[in-house]
Amino acid sequence: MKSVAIFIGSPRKGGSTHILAQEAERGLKDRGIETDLVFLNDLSIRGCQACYYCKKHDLAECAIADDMQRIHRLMQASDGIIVASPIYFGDVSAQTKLWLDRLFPFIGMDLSPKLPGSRPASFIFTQNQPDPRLFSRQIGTFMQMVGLTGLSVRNHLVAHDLDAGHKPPVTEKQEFMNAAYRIGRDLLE
Amino acid sequence: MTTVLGINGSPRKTWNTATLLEKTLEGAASTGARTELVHLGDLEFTGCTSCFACKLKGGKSYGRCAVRDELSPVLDRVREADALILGSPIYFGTVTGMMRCCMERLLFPYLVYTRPPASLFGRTMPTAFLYTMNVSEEQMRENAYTVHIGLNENVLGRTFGRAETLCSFETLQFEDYSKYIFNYVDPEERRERRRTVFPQDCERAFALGARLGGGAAGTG
Repeated sequence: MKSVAIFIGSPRKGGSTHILAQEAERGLKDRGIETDLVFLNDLSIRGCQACYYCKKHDLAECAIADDMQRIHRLMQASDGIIVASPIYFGDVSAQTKLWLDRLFPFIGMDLSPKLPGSRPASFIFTQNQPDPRLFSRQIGTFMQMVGLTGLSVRNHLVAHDLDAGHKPPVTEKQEFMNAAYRIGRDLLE
Repeated sequence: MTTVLGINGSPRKTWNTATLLEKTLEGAASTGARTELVHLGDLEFTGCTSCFACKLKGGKSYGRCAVRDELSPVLDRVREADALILGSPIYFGTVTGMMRCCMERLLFPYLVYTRPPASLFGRTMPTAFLYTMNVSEEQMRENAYTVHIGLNENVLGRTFGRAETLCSFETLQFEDYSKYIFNYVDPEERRERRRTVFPQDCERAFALGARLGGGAAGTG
């Protein structure tokens, strides 16, 4: 059975990012795909320590013994991934950036990818700002960096004009709910 | 006496970023300022948890970060400082995850959701951000790291009133390249740059520190 890992970089359970990630998960399940939904904020993940253990030994392994060990194994075992993050101060959340820094073992010093195949990765971003293109350079850089691991960057959604309190909930924005569902449904197509 | 606080977002405490931060603080000390350097790698702390306690009207944490961990005393010291210098290597196109955690916790509590956004910091404090990176200045522009750096300068400026930026390019990553898989560039070029260009970066950092120290004395 195929499986996909979904990484949620929002600290907020039940918020827009989580809801859209669940829509993507529903799309995956409708295709008979197993899912692992992981809240990065629930884990203990240190920043990369720049020890270069992974480069010294040319290993797709990390020397830091924390919850990222499990994430590395999950990424190696999954047929694809979905990353969902809110935009904070014009970029992905700090929890998501810690995760990205720790993907260093999956990239060679010559920038060669260390994750086998070209398994797909799709992305869901949520932001308060009403202009969906406002942070497109930062979002583009983030996805490009994830792609250095060998994952193949597939689709992304920028669900914009969302706010935790003042604006209508994302469940009322059918276009985003549908797009998130399709991100899951089409990931392994 | 003015206090200039440095925050190191690199996990390494003796290499490029830390060295440039130390030079900056030496420059500040040359103007008579008291200086302090915090290494984020020594601390256990999290990113913003989006609890919004800092935004709650009349709340006891209004304008302050309600998360209590080893970053909390650092955030308190920024409140008391006269100038602030942040330093981080560029990892995957942006500052390190540790620095990002610190920035969210430092900056978000001061932000008020007015139009345009206001700052609760309540005074003007000179700040700066210094970056070290493997890429060249041309590659930095091609890869749009300038957008990230510009956003950081913008948010520091909006929060504290004044911000400047210093970049150090094509830094030396290790003492001994032969221990690592590395065919990205010629290590000899990097060692040469470390001998000839990095000292100039250190001088620019010293001058930056003198401006921060002097500016802090002027506004404090």
